[in-house]
Amino acid sequence: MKKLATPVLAVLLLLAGVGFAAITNLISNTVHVDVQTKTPIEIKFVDAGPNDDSVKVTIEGDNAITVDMYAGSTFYFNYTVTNHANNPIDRYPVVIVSSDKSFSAGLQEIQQIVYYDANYPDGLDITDMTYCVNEDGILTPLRECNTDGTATTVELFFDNNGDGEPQPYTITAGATWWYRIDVVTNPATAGTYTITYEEHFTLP
Amino acid sequence: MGVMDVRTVFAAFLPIFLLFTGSIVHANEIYAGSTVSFYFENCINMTVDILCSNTIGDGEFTLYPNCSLLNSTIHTQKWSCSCTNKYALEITTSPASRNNCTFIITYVERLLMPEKVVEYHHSSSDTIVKEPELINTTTIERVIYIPSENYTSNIEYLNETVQNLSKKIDELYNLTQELKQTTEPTEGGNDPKALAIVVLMIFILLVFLVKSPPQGR
Repeated sequence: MKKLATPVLAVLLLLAGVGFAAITNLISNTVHVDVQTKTPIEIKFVDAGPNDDSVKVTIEGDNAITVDMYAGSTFYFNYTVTNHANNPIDRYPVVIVSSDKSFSAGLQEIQQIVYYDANYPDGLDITDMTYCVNEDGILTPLRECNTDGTATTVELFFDNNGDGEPQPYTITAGATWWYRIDVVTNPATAGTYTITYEEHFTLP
Repeated sequence: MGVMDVRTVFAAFLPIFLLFTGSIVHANEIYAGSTVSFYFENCINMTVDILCSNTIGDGEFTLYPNCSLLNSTIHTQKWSCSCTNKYALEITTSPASRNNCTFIITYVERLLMPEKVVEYHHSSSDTIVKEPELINTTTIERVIYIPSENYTSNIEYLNETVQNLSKKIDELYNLTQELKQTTEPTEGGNDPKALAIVVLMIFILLVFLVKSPPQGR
């Protein structure tokens, strides 16, 4: 009986060795992440003027200014845009102008708009590249804006290729860009204006 | 209570639940439009559940790579991702996103244990178990190498050997032929010596017959 037990034990041990040759484990894990999203674009008015006897410009919060001026005066405002996201963002900036009086057809109150940024430090006349944004999103050239003498608010978009189709302005991740807008008003224009800057954006 | 009623109640209480949860766990603040990444060393399957307190907009979340949206409700989304080992999940939020969300990432990972070779040796007296060891086998290919300068001498040696062997074979052949001629009988049986012996024996027999008289006279 003892002679038989030894070979049987050896066979059992050999089979056990084959069984432990390879092992694969599957493990299921769970990760919980709480995320709160906030606006990636920071807009800030940093300067406005000239704040002399003819024009009084007041910054209201980060993205609005109030202009109280004599007709025919010129005023300006500086603002910065920062992209805090880690991806580039396509921006569609608009300027909303509100008045205590109704605008004339073709917005004759605005005689000229000059645009400055890092690429145009000497300024660029964008009067003919400025469009009114209609309620349906269609762009209308500034001088063809259908303000019909009753509208007290207009939304303006700077279309730099002049094709009348809104194109995005892409800002790279983490970048801060500065802008300056000079507005020359018509001598026949008088009143108080509130200018609000807004941006709509998507991912490229 | 119908199915729609249950969904309505769920949708109504979810923001409250998330608000309560958010008061316990501090949420990570990220800027909308950003991408957050999660790295998984081993992964074979993954599902991502997104629960938000505000309405989830179209395209508010994009999961990449190899991810597809399974279903979506006002406050929830469920994604499935075909992940592999060393998988980096990227969740990109829309720049217009204003929300408070929880990402629940459930993934299955496969862990491969290193293979061990275990040997057991058995003797007649008892069983000896060796420690696991890795056995490497190496195949060696042997090539017979003959230096090229020895080719001529080797051939000359072989030719000489063959000639000697041929000469020996010829000598042996000649000797065999001589022996064969010596042992072979004469053709026709007319050997003069044998004939002379036979004649002599007959003569002697006749002499004995002539000299001895018949015994009956």
